[in-house]
Amino acid sequence: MAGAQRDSAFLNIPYDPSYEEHFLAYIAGVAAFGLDPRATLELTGGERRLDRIFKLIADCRYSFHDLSLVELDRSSPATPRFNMPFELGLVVGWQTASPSIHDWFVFESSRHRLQKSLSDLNGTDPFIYGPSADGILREIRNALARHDVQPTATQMRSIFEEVQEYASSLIREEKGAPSLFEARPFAELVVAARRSAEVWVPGLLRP
Amino acid sequence: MRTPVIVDTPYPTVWQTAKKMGVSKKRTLEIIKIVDEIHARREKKRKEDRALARVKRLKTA
Repeated sequence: MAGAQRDSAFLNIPYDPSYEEHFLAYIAGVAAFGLDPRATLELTGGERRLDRIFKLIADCRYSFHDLSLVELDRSSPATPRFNMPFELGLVVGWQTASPSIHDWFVFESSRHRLQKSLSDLNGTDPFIYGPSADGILREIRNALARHDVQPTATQMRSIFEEVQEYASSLIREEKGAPSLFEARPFAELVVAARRSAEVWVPGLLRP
Repeated sequence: MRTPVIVDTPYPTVWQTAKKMGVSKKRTLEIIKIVDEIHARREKKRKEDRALARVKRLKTA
């Protein structure tokens, strides 16, 4: 798509309270590389949701797909989470149709799980990050590189910690809606991550 | 071994990101202030911890 924003990265991740720390790690890690994280959390308005999701994907140059929580959810009726693999399928189709304008990365917490949960992707090496948010930062560093200034592990960790602290202040401020998985908190976290990245990786600032 | 994908886009400014995310100028200023305060607090603590560690090292030497 001609209008793809080359500095945007689509985050296809679970919106689950147990996943909050990982969610913040993706925001911080992607921001450290000079990319703006985007997610379906932003989608509002009357247009059909699927159309808006596809538009958002097509607007992004990169996408990160975390399939670690493709499992039965806790609330009744217990159903598998199909959204993440479905959105990955949309991206794969999109990238196959226009190969030069989108790069996608599959993230998993455990090795060999993807072969079982989504064997159609055999031959694709997922980025295995293990149990911690630090693993996500490490694997983003393995997936992306910059020629001008490469964010270091320490810088990424510092940005992540500052975003975590900002998230805590946001939750304190928003007593009525303490979830980070909503449009406004997400937008603010992205701005906070960008500011923190500006401070920690000053070499990447525009002249 | 996998080769990383090269990101070659210019780094967006906080104002460009805020505009893209639909965050108002007023709120962006507030966010910048909060993040800068967090950063300053953490830097101060880091310096204090470093100084403490130095004193400890000197005492044990």
